[in-house]
Amino acid sequence: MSKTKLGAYTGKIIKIDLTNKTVDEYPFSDEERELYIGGKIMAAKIIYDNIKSKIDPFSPENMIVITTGPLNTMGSPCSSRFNVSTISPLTGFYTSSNCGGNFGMAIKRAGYDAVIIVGKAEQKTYLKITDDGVEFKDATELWGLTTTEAQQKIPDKGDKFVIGPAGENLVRYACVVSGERAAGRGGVGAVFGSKNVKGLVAEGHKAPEPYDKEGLRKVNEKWTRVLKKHPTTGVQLPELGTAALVASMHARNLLATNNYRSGKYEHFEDISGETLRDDYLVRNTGCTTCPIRCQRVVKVEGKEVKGPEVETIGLFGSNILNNDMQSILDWNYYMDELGMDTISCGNTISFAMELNEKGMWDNGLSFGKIDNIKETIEDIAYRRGIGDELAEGSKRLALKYGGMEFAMQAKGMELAAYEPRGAVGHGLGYAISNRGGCHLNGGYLVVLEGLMMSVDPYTTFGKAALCIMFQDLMEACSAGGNCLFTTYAFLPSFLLAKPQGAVTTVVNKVFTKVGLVLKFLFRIPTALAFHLPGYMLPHTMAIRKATGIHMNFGRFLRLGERGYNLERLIDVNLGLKPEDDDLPGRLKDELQIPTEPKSKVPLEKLIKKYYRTRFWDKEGRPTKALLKRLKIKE
Amino acid sequence: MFFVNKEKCVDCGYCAYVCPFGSLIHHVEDKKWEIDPAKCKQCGICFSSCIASAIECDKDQQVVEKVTINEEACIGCTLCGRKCPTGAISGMLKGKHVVIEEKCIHCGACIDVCRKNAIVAHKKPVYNEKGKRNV
Repeated sequence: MSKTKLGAYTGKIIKIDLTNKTVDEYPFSDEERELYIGGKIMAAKIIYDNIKSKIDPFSPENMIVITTGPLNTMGSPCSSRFNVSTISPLTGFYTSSNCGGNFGMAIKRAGYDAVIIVGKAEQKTYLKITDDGVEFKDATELWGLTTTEAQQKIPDKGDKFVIGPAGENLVRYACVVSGERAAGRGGVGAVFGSKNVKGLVAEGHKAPEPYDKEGLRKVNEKWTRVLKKHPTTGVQLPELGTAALVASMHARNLLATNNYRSGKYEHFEDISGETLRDDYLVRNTGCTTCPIRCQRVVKVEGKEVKGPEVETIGLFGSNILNNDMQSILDWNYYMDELGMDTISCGNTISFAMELNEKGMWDNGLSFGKIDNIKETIEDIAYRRGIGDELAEGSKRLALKYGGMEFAMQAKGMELAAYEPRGAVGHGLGYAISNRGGCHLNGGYLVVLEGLMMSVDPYTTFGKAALCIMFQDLMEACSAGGNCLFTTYAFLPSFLLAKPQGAVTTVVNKVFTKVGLVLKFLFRIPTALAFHLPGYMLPHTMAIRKATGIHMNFGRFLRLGERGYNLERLIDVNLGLKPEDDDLPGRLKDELQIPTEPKSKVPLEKLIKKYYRTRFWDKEGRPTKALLKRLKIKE
Repeated sequence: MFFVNKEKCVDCGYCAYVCPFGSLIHHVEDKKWEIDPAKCKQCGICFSSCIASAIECDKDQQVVEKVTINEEACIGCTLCGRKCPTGAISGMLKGKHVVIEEKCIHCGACIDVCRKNAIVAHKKPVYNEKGKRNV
């Protein structure tokens, strides 16, 4: 029996204590579900309520919160996404990593909105979660296996979620894998490893009922059609994958090259989405429930495996001056098998290359030299030789060997492959992001500043407000249980179809001027009480039909704002200082293009504006008035 | 009969994920799914789950709404319990069996296997008189 009056929720959250081998129900009321919805925001609420001061991420006190969103199992497009949240061993702050595997749908079908894991298991363990409860099972035989092997060897039926050797060896950027999809960023895999948990398996059969089944079905059907027709989600992503962006990143000085010393790579065509499609692609595929199908299937050692995303291509391609696509496919596969984040791994390796180049650390790695990368990746996962130090991430390396100004990280987490000096709003996002140098948690403004639209990439005008709006939007979309790629439809087809057209040019100009308007609208709760037209943001309608929660564009933005501020509060409790909202010196002080005086990130100015627009004080903390407005209790 | 309208199918695979009988076949070449009539038990779970409403059926199609076990006819052979994909039938050998409603997904797997016809399927039409979907 469902314990909630809302549709689309199971009404049950369980807390698994590994130390005492107990399972309890965690109280979470319907009022809290309405305020925090699910996904990373629900997880932030749970972590905020339980972790109030600085802790060691590898201690038993740290908690892993796996949350589903209301739209999981509701038949909405791209709705298999679930979140794993914890205190990151990479940053020491809150992290929430999103995964597209089937595991999230399985725990919801087993009857749980979320699963919380605390304590530390005495023995190597894996957990089996079904509607009958949780079983603690011996994982001694599974320890040491790669992510694919472990999933195959777990004898239980159901969907799996496992770590590889990197997680077992506490590599600070280890990931957790479900099927072929990974919860990559922030080192959640290492937290699993620190708790002696190899993985989880969940089997469930019955999804909760939505509030308005027929209404939701109609929204889902139209939403799917809109995504299939949209030039990005219907054509570009299925055809080229996220690698489609490589060429436009190069054209706009956004492709991280030579450890972020340049935004252009002369051999970009060798690692572009078009090359990937023409010479390496077997077919495209995707997550369950996804009509976009952006995932690449490629061949590695004769096997059909998952291909790389644009971030991996950038960081293992242009950023280390490597134009051999097959090597990137191979390494991407090895990293997935070993269970580690390709972004942090690639970025840490390129930092080590520059340290070696400058004579600061003799490690045998150098730009353009690719014959020792596979071995290095394995050394990291098993913490052998230099791998033991690389496994600590670039910030810790910089503290030991120096070179902090070119360690491409923020708050300890490595930046993605977008060079922010070619898109300063994106740079602000990296610096401010609650989980460290993340393009998505940062607001992904590079989409407006060059990849899809052509908003002036160098101006600071309006960027703080745009950054906030996109952060809040993506926060809320993610919490609903959808892939962030569904937000591409937020930019209507007619704008993207004619990038040089009059309408698009005007919109590009207007975007930077809307900052003040947005700031004003943020303050009025009733000003945005509507659903956006043209299925730009059908999430609001779908959540309303699925749950019965009163949802509209304004409430949706406020939901995202609540989530973002809650994450910030967790970070503040964990010791975040305003000086942590920072970028490496190279991006702030050195010009990307010597002849273009604006080609660096004017971070100080942007952050001041950002704090003001967010209603944060000078210390970067949400003000009491803001928290009251967002109904967050301190 | 349920079938996939290939014009509308978007290859998301959710039908295959929810099907308790593994009756969905993937055609890699044209990136579409198809229902294997030999395995399909007409439960309609895929029909109500499809994100693109691409699974269709005849106008007079019926699906199971509720399953009950006639206690008098049940001899406790446990066949239904072993066949149930969700473990929704409880009962000991030679004892009376009951359906646990919270676990039952109304797939109808138990109905065909019962040799004593003790399982009663309460059915409802997929479309109502006005042609609107019930499920």
